[in-house]
Amino acid sequence: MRKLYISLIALILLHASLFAGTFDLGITLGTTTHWGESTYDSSKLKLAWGVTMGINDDWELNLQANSALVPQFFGDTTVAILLQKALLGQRSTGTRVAGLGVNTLLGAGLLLSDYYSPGNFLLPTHILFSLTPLTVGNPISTKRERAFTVTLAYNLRTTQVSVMFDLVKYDFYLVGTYRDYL
Amino acid sequence: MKRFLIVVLLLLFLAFPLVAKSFGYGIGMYGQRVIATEQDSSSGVELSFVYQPWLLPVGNPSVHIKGAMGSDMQGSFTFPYVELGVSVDLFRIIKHPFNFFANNIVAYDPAFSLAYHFDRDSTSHLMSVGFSPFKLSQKDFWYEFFAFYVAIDVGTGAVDNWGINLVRYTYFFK
Repeated sequence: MRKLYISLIALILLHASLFAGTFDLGITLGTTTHWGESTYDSSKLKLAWGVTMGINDDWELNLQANSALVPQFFGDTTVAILLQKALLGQRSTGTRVAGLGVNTLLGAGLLLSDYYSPGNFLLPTHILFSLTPLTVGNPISTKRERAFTVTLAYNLRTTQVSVMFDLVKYDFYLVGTYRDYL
Repeated sequence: MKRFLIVVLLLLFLAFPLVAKSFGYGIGMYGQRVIATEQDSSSGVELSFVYQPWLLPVGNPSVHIKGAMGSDMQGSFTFPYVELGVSVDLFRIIKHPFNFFANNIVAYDPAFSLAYHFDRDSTSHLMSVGFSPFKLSQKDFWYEFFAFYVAIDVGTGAVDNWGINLVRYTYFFK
């Protein structure tokens, strides 16, 4: 089962590159909190870290680990996989022109957690629906800020809906910036 | 009359810092680990007010008051601490490796802080010693990342709790 999940995640990541019209890749750092499931997830301070991958000019794939910092430093980690669409226009022009500086993201995905098998392998436990009302910057300009992201998390086992809130996240792009189009 | 004039001039002199853009408010995301009772550990939002009278290139001081509110490990709402103290920017430089973070040039000014740490659940007097290793500042803003503190029981010298602010944004409005 474990191999299957690892293979699926790898497949998703590799599959994305097939659509690489305006491919870009960045590192994500930020904050996240999870409200409404304190039985499983009591920490409201989590470091969000991962990668953001541009699939084309308005779709992107985010792989985000959420690690609790208290009471144990990096004591508990969940992983969110989100496919998101830019609603206000191109997220990347694929040229040296920076393009749209402000955007909104809407997406869906899965949350992998060890809520039902603590300490063991992460399993898909929630379906995610995410809205990021404000992004500032874009891959071409090498960095982007995502603010006030609200994600509804539907728990597949309990059928309850909880909320994840990311105050701010920073994407630092390594590939697909203006430097690649000079 | 002379004495009155001197007092007025002194008051004016002391009031000059108020004219500068010296007052700011901040919001951060905190986490606190209580050493004795892990279940009292909490995380949430920290609000702060700052008064920064000068803008010295080295050893720049500021006064702050901070209050945190969040939820503990049971999910109950809590106000874990209020802090009143001073912080000192060690130095301020603009040539540093963190300029990639902002579109404009930002100054890097890591800061030490020392504060009285009031915890309503504790009968001890606590002193908080903090360090903000990734503090970036512009004219109107401070951006802080991974600022942490350790609160020490003044009576026993033991660590009572520690905490971290993943991010803290302070805006200077006046």
